[in-house]
Amino acid sequence: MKPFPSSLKEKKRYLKFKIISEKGIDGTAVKKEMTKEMFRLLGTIGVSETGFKILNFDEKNQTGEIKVDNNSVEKIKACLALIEEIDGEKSIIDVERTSGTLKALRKE
Amino acid sequence: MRKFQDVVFSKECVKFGKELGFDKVYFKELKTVKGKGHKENQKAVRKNIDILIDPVAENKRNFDTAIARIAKDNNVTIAVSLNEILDKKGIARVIYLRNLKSMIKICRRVGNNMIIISGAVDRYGMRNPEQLASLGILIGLGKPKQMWAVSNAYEAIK
Repeated sequence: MKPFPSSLKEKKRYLKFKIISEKGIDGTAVKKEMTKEMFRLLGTIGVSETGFKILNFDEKNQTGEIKVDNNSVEKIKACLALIEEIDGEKSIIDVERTSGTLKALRKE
Repeated sequence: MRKFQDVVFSKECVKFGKELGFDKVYFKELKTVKGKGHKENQKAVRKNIDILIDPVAENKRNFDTAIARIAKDNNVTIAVSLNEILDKKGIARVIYLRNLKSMIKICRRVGNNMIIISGAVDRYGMRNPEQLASLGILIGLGKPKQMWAVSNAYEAIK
């Protein structure tokens, strides 16, 4: 099978986010709320175009990483800004960094 | 150099805003008026105020070209607040975003100064400057304009 040329692959961006909240929030609730807000704002077709994927969520530090299409970074940031509550707890999703590679994202 | 700024309505937000990455957070330094009906908006922009916040929160007819021109003559900045978007749910939010698009169209045509503020009453109403700027694209500002609205646009206020 002929390999898929890299020039045709979608370019991606990685976002690092932090949850600011009084209590600690578990990863499942974060994923659920993010997906819910994305569908509410962008719709099914909109979400499919963003290539949105939550890579991981560290419950201890309340930080996580998201992978998105490079053209949809602004849309995702706006979606995350509109989240007010996670699991009934008032919280903010603060997008700390945006990067083209995971290595650069994790660099302090 | 870009300098991120915001307007809030609570003292606790000033400190928290700086933690989020704002260079300056205005609490009571600027004269602000919350938009209401058409007559109230017209009255507000004639007075010596700095910012008219959410003039189309109730109805899109509350802000027209006449008000935009008076605002421009009197150097009044038009603001869109995140707090108002968060307050509205479901179909009310849909209508509000539509109203905002028509307001922005008028402001761009007349040439009003526009800013995006969090307008927060508590720390959970605040977002970091880049997320606030991303909302600018959502409501119909262009890519360079959305960054302008959270940073350099404040220079035109005073």
